[in-house]
Amino acid sequence: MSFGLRVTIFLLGLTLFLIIFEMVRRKKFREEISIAWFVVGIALMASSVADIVVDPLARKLGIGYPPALVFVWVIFFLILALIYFSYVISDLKGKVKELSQKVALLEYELEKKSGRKT
Amino acid sequence: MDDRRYLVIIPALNEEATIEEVIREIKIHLPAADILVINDGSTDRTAAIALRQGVIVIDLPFNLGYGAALQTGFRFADKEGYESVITIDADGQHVPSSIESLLTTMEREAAHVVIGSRFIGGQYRTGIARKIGIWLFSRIARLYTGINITDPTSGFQLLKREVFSYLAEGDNYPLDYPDVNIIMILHKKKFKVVEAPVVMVNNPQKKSMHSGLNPIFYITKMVLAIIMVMMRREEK
Repeated sequence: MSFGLRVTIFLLGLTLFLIIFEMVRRKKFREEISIAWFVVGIALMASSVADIVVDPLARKLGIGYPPALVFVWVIFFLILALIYFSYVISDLKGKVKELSQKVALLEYELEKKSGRKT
Repeated sequence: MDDRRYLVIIPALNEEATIEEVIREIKIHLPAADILVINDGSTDRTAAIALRQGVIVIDLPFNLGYGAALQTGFRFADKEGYESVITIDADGQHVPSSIESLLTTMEREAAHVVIGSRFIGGQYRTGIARKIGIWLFSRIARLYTGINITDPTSGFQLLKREVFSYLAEGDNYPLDYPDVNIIMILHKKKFKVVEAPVVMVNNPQKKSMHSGLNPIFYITKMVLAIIMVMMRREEK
């Protein structure tokens, strides 16, 4: 890898990291959800020097094209992140249902008390 | 509380064309019952028409889905102390005169749940995909429960208090469409589920609630739901 490429990848990772950091600081993003993306940012920064570790490891595993190992790892972590988001969505869906049912029932109670509905 | 025996729950989403007639028919055939329309986020005059008929209307803040709308009704019935609940569709597919059939069957069989079936006794035309689905899933249900269910997706039902109070809790009822999996859960809970013949009419300009769903998605979802019912331990 050329030195320029290393710097570029590192800066990309750093930018991602800083964007997420700033979003969490401004409370646009909840801490627990941001963790997955911090990991991605850090991993991207680390990958600028990853070939030192990845190349010998890939060779040992019999992978002819070392970056393929990186892809496998990245995909694995992305899948983990997606599973986590699916979990959050399911959880929210259940909560939204509970809340809206409660709101509807309470609204009826309230309107009955104030005599607006039969 | 004697007259608070029956509550008829009508989940409705944009049914301004048919709701009035359905309510009027129910009043004729079951005058003692209270009628509750769950307005599941309609954008037309469904709620206003129902209110004019003097029935109870509960407005969900937005469209939640057929199952969640019904469950809202179960929660209401549970809180208000009704003895039995009848669920009926707002699109006029279920003929209210058949409520009688549900009631007599419940009495005769001492059942907790009576499902109105369009396939017992009468003829009713359905699409081929639907037919295969119904056939397959009722087979599975019969293997598991020993009950012969001919019309597992029927939303025309009569439920006793124990049953709808159970279904009213948390995640015990699906958001979208209850199916064989609910029948299996009720069987697991030791409720007696039977079917009764009812009349249903085909409404040509209306789509069936299953027709919009991708059939492959529907079948996969149901298979998964059935496996999950079998795998889950009995909760207390």
